[in-house]
This record gives sequence, C-alpha cells and structure tokens, in this order.
Amino acid sequence: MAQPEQFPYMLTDPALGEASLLPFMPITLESGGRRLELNALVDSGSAVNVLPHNVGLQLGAAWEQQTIAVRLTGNLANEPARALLVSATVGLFAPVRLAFAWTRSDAVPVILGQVNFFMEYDVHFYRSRGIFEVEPKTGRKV
Amino acid sequence: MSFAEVVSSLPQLSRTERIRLLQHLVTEIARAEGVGLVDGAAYPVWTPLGSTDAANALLQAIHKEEAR
Repeated sequence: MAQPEQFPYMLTDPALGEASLLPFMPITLESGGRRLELNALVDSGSAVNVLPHNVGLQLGAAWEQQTIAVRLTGNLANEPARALLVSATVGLFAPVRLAFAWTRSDAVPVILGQVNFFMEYDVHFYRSRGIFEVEPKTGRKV
Repeated sequence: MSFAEVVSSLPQLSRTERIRLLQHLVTEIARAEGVGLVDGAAYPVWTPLGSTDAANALLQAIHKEEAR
C-alpha cells in the first residue's frame, strides 16, 4: 500500500499570513509529449478539475480540436470551456488520466476537483497543522 | 539537528522536494505569526461549485477514452 504524500499548505499572500494558506500541491501534467510542473489547488468543493487557458496551450492543446463543450458555474460561468484529458503525476505515484474543464479564462489556478481528481486520490486535510496528505485510491497500483 | 547539518543535507533533495520544504517553512512562519482575516482584503473564491453538467461531460469523456 502506498504511503501518503504530505504537502504543506501554501502561503498565497504574505500580507494576509495564515488566512491566505491554501492547499496547493505540485503536480506534473503531460500531453502530446509536453510536460509541465505546476502548483494546483486541491478543491473538494469544485465539481470538476479546471485548467486555465494558457496552461492548456503550453501543453500543446488546440482549442478547436476539443469537441466536448462543458458549462462551468461561479466566476467561470461566463467563459466557455471544453473537456481536455491529460496525464497527471503526483509525487512518486503512478500517472493517472485527469479530465479537465479547459476554460478560456486565465484568471484561475489549476483546480483539482471531484471529477475526477478526488475519484483517483484520497485526500486528508489537516488545516490546523498546515498540511494535507494525498494517496492513490484504494486498490490502485502506485 | 543543527542548522549546518540541515543545510548540508539539502543537495540530497530533488528540486520538487526543495520547493516543498520552502513552502513548508513559509507556512510554519505564517502560522506562528497567526495573522487573521484582514479588513478590506480580497479573498478569491474560484470554486466552480455545482457544475454537475460539466462533471458529467468530463466523466463521459473519460469513459469514452477507456472504451477505446
């Protein structure tokens, strides 16, 4: 059984101190031979994974070639989005396929939400200690 | 473990691990200082809560790829 990977909450605004700590996690995304290392927000309140427009472009994705349109809510409701499947690696765990709602907006971080990040990984938040842990879902190889 | 020992062990860490260590130290310092909510500050909420149609579309895309 895989040991959970532990990550610290990230300080997103030094002026706000502890109030700005958010569960951002390093993740590697790969698509079409291109590879990106970035920090993504682990967001259990989000129904979907979200990919900002520029990150999709850096992965070599072409907007016109993504045929599945998806409709987002909240502050992304006014931006079109399309489904984009990429390979993702967390820590030393085996890569998984993640489906992202690729939005036209860049005013958003990479978000890891219920479909399908939380379907692939179990996450334990310890906000009082400033850490969270991620491990592959039970039964998946590492 | 002394500061010198900690520093001497850093080259053994990968780039990602060093970034995580940096984040951890910054977090620890912020928590120790205990700054609370600041009057008038902006706290962004990005969560696309309730995008169930989008969630279903993504699931279908995954299932379609798995079926191939």
